[in-house]
Amino acid sequence: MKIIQKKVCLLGDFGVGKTSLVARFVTNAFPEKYLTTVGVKMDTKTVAINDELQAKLILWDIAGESALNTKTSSYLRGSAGLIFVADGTRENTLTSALQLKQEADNLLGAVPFVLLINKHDLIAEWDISETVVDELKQQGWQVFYSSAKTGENVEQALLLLAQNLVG
Amino acid sequence: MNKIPFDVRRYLYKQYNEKVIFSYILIDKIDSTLEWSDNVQMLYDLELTQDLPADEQLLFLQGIYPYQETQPFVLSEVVFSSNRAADIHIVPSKYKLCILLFDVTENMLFHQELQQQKNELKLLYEQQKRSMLALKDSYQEIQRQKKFAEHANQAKSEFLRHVTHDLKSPLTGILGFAQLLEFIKEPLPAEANDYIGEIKKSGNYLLSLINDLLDIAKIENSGMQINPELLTISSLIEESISILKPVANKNSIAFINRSNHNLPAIWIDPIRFRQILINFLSNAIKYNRNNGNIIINSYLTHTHSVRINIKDSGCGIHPENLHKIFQEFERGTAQDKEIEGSGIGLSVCKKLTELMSGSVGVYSELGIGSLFWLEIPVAEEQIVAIKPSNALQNILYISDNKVHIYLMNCLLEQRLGSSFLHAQDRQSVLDMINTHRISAILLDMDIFSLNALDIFKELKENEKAKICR
Repeated sequence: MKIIQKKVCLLGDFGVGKTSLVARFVTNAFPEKYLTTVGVKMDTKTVAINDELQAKLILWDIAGESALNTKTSSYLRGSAGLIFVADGTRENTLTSALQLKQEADNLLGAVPFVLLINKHDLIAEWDISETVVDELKQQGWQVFYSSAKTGENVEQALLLLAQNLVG
Repeated sequence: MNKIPFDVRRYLYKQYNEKVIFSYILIDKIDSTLEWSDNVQMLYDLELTQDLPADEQLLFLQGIYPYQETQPFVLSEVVFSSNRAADIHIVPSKYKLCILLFDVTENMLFHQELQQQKNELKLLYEQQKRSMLALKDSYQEIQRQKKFAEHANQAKSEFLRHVTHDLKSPLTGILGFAQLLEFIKEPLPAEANDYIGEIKKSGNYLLSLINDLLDIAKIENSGMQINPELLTISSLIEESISILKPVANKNSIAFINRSNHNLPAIWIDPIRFRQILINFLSNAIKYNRNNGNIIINSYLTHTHSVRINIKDSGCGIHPENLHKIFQEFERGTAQDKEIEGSGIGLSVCKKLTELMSGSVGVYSELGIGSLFWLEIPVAEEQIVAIKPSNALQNILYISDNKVHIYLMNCLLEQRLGSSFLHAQDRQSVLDMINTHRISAILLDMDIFSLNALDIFKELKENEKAKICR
């Protein structure tokens, strides 16, 4: 069995649920209390791509910001893939995700990525129009409506990214 | 510490003071062997071995190692699984890659607490902003709905005004000629008199209904003009009673007038005020019992208003219906189909009274009767004298409606004995004024061939027309 290590950074505005998504993905748990991330936290998760290949994802959970700065830019160095996260109940966080994508492209060039529009369990408070999401999909973006709370689409999104990283 | 190359130690000295807990990991550039300080494992839960490649053991080296740059590279505030945080400096020297870890856990905890508060405040601000936007949207929607409702109401009133006007015009002819039929000297067959009576009764009911609807439309369109005069009300009460006395007598209902004749003057439109009184009195007759009575009482209240009470001895109004009796199309106990009425009379009365700065109300007890009241504030200035009116000789009627001209001619000449003069355009109006001594001018406001208001204004300015004002 061959294992390939890949660095994947999570980017998104504060409070969108990046740390919770990592917790759901790595330990299948959901932390009920919101605790702001400062700096960067690293975690690993190995996913099976096929019978002969596994991807060990080194997940860099970077403190939430609406734009990159010198400190957060340094974390991106050598990143093989990116996960952008927005909060479906806060429209402005999607704008932040788009901004971060632009800045990351300038730093890293084109790398595989997925966009998770998180907190899909809070559908009654949904604030992001489907038209915008459809436009992004038409531009080739891999967009998932996810919920770290229920686990909706978390594994699917990460698996798709892992496949794109090794494929 | 001595294992760290001198130039790296110098870099270290510049970056942090001695109090910071310092750890290191050194990677030999030639054989990739590792050296590390004793505190690395304790602080950061790093179990290092020579058996595995550096980047597999040290997650923070992912994407960075093998380090090719000549300048130091810094990863700030890297939080480890031990929950300790370090600033990691990757500093290259001639033979070794030095990874220097400066413990910033205390700083990180402080920074986290600060950032947590900042983020929570930001979230709160975003929520407030969203609530404000939602409120703004709701307000705009309400305004839009309000405008829509106002337009719809205006269109309804306009429609009502047109329809009622079109109904009123032929009705004037029907009622006028029915009245003239009664004046024919030759005796008519008894059935014919009955038929005329029925035409007049139905026509009058229709006319009062149309007038009420017109009033409602005017009030709703803010088009209702009242012409207030400073008047005492005792004569208006007596006049209204005398108008309705024949109807009351027919039902053996007695009027008992206990009005105070020395009340101060109030600002009222006499036509509209009489309309209110007649409406209240008509209701008192309609909803009374046979051999009942109507007590009219007027007096000065302690709030310095003139109050009129009209009390009947009828069936009364159910308490459930009492609060909506002044609303349009509400008839209270009159669900009884035998009693004529549209349910807009009282609504008109309330609106008219309010236009005269007054108020109306009702008390009622089932089986005992109802008391309708109206109050108008007393005017600050009071009447000194009342002018006597002139007798009418030549009456000029300005209209282009043939039926109305014929009707007015019959009424004025045959019934009042006045000289009937007629004009239907501006020039003939002026000719009439210049060649005749006119006692009164009647202007048909619905005249089609010219603007009635323009004529009215011109007559107001005309010296010769002033004499008949």
